[in-house]
Amino acid sequence: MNSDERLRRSLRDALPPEPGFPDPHLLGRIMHRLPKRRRLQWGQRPWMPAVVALALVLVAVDLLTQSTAANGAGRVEFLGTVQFVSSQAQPADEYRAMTRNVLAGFNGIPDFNSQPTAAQDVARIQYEQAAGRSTIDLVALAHGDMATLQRSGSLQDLTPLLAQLQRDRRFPPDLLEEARFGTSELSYVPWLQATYLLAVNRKALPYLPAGADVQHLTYDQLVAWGENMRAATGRNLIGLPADLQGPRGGLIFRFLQGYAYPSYTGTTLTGFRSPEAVQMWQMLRRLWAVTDPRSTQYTDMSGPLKNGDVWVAWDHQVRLDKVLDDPRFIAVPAPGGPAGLGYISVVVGLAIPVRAPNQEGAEALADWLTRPRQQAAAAVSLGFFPAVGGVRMVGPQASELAVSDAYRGAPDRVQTVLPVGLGGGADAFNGVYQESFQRIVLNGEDIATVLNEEAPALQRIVDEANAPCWAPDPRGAGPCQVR
Amino acid sequence: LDGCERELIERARTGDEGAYERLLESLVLEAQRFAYGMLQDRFAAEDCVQEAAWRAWMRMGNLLPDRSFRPWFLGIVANQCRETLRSRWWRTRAWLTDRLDGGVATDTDDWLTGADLRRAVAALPHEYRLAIVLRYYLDLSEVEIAATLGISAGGARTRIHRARGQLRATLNHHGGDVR
Repeated sequence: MNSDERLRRSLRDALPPEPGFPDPHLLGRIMHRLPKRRRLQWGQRPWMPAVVALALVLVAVDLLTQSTAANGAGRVEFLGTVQFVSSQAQPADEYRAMTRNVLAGFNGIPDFNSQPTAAQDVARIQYEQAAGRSTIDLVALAHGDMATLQRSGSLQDLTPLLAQLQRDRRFPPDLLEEARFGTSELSYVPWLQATYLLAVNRKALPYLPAGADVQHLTYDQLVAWGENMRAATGRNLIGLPADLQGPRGGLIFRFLQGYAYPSYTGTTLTGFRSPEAVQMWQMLRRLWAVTDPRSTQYTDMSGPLKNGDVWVAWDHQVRLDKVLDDPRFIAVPAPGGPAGLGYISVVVGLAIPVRAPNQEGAEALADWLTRPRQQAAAAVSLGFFPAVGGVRMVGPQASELAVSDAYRGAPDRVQTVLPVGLGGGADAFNGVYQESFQRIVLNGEDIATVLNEEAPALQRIVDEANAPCWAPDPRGAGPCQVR
Repeated sequence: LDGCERELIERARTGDEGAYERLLESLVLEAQRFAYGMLQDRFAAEDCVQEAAWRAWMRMGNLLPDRSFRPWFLGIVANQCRETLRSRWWRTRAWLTDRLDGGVATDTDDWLTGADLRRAVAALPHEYRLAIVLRYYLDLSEVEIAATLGISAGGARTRIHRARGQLRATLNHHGGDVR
């Protein structure tokens, strides 16, 4: 056997095909998820000559009409193409729902482009702004990504637009406050919001510890609840999305950043290695002792909840939609700790970049998307809930909205937002929390040692991004500092 | 590039999903094996191919006339693999895997058929790993590798040669060699 053939065989032996792989059904999944619409090069649009001709006719008719009518009075103005980019509505079914249910009916052509991650949109906008231009009219991004754009001066002040919108709709004042980033200018209009919560199988309720109110739990009570369930059933019935495979894994890092840390330390970052954080990690070890050990394989808690592997689980509301549609389950707020009730408020806003080519179209589309009917349609299509007050929801979104209201109404609330201003460092930042969880909870390493070793990595990421602190850590000048 | 493929490409460029599916169906298994060879994880390989298929669909307009779909698509899979390998979460995962597997001996006496070879391939720089996987795992010819990587056939030959050299050095370090 020659050396080429030997290496060929050896490589195949070293990487043997697993049962079911390659997956013959993958093609079906690919085609199912394929976006129904894609951007074509100008030269590849066979219908473009017809569109151009039609546009010329419309312009001619419009000019004729303007010359004979009373200055456009009574006309509904066509707003042209509005370049709208977002990191939301990425899966194909959400993209379809967005274009068919949310954007349909707008008096213009919303050219909606959804990117896999916000980083691409942020980079594109910053690049264009540096070049003194913009090809984007409207952008929908989470608060943290907006912060990056706001700091680089890429966004317009939308205060005049807000005044116009507030004539017939109401935005929660705290969301508007966040959108101002401590300045007098409004960088975005709130569009959608989301949060994380506990989904509870009603079968678990009889095992609540004495005196515990499922709507106002503490972490100690959650641990005791898990112990009671295990004593009665012999199983660990609490679940956490603790698959640690980075951004594609579970959201345990959000649990740490936005729930456990703020509830024990009142901070999300600055108290990373504080004595209170050590106390929190000790609690997490006790919680892990009553948590389904398969949690390290869970990226999404809906499956384990549905099939009864776990009875109580924390996750993002979008992932719990299907569970909460089932009457066997209820949605309740996450527990609180010694420092209060830590929770994350996820806000997606609508912003207009400086030098947007279709300013009028962008403002009109922001108006359209924040109308109550479109808010409800977007909430259902994308699994969020509305940012505009007074929109009535039904089904799982109604119970999720109730949990969100409970968070906002809690007197001891410690509101956290998703990491702000980290740009491309966000994944690495989350990775530090994953690694800490791995080392402290799964590997059983010394808590203080791990925190002292991981804190510099966290600090380095924040320093590189030059990111100031975000809620609940007090905002100040310069990069946020881990104490 | 035969007339049938040319027509399918043209139709796919205008948004015909059926045509795109026809182009992909003969490639999807090969692409998964390719990604598996690069990433050594079946689920990551499936994700990689899905993402590559999505990107290829969005960029059909970039496929030059008279260029075959296969090497172009495999090139996108290769880029996607590189992005995966560069990501922080992948490096964290690799670190954890090393820690978990580090002490495990190869389950066979032949060092070329087990974890040592996998680790040696995984340790190669991306371009060399591509060359080894395409040549020895997917059995592509030098001309096909050149088309996939967008280099000349001579360049492909050189790259394979150098990749083998580096693989040999790594394995020698662990007590084996590539003869």
